[in-house]
Amino acid sequence: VAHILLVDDNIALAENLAEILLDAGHTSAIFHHPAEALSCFHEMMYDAAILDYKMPGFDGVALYTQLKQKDPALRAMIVSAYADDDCLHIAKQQGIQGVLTKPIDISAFFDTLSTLLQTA
Amino acid sequence: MEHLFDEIKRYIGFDSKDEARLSTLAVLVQPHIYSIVDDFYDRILRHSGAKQAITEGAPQVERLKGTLRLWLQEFFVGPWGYEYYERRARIGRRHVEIQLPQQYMFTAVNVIRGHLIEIVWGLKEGCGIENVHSINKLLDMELAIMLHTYREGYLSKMKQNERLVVYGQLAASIAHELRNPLSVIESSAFLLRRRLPPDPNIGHHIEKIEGQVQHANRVITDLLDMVRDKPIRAEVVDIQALTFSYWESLPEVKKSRLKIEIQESLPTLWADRNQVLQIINNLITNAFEAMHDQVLVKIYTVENTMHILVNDNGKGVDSVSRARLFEPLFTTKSRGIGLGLALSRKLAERNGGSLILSQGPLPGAAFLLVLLLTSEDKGGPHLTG
Repeated sequence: VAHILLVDDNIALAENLAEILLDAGHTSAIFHHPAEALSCFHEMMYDAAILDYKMPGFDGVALYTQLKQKDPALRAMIVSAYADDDCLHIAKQQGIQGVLTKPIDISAFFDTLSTLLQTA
Repeated sequence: MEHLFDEIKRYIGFDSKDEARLSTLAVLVQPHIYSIVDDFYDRILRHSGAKQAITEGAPQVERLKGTLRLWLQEFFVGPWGYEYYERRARIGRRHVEIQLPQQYMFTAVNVIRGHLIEIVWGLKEGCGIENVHSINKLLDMELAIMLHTYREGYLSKMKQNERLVVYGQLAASIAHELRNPLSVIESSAFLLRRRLPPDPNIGHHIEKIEGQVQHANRVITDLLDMVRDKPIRAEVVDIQALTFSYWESLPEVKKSRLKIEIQESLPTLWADRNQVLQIINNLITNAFEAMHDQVLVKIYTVENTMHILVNDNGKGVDSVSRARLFEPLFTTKSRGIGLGLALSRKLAERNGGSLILSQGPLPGAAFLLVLLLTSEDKGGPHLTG
């Protein structure tokens, strides 16, 4: 059982992902604002993070770099409606392990998740 | 407004005397038509640049020769009215469509001019120089018409580009944003499938939802690919393996309708694998969507290029659609936004190739995708199969 941080301003999608994760035996905490997620974040809280790319305030990659300052071991994937090559490149540079395009291919989602959890 | 043909005639001073001279010359030129046309195409085939317009080899040359013989006959017999102009313009538009560089129009007309002057100069009766003038007048009018079709082509392309830039960015941001609701629909369908009892009726509807989400997402992806220039990741591509795995991914009902003919020991391509797959998928999907029961894919090499022909047994493309087929936002289907062919051509060109409307063994539409082989400095030619 893993505990996952879910940050997406699309509330309906975040809830669905949480439900899909729960089916797979994982628990999660949902945040709709990156600032909120950051302020409630502590080291060792989560086994992995699933972050939306485009959000109010700062994007998923910026959020990840901030979270990593509090927990350098944190692994993350980006799910994005805007996943283009630039986004992919920046994410890789920042050490993000996976970038998935919305709509999300569920089997690719679990593949990426298991990589995150294995390397955690 | 004065018709363009009248305006050209008036400027150049082409009148009934010229018409009478050309009519008289018709009989004298007739015996030379075959040799003029043969020389015309010999020159094209000997020229490395010009011969790129010939994409289908000998049978195409034979067809084109027939067209040129007719062109020459009409040149001398007229009548030189609006219908004449329209027929000439149609040929010009065809040149624009296959993207024949303009310089070859002039060089090719020069070949014809040389032959005709030689024939007329040697005539015993009649005034040689006046005959030469009449021929020159009409040949230059022919060039003016062809140039005009290029202008038409450029203007429509410019308008099209303006339209794309303005609406493209807007459409791209809408398309991006639509992926959010789509991802909710998709993941909810996924959860529904798990939560609901295994009832085939319910399953059927969930499949429909998933299928439509995929369709919507494809439209979005095509649109975004059209608006932005995706970087090319060229690599050695085994086209035979690529085509085979594509075929394997198709549902059974489509597999049986798709026939693939591949030349033995094909060399490899140098291209972006995903983009090649995207083009082939677009062409084959188009053919299937038009309800054609048979689709043929032929893959073979012609000199240093790979030819991939996608041909169906439908009604083909009518002459009105033909000219606009590769324009973005042009579609003959009741569904779809008309990006498939425009995008496919753009991707082909970005990979150093081309995509044109062609002819094939089946009577319906035939699209010819021409791509580059792996060159020796990239480790080619590799042989597959």
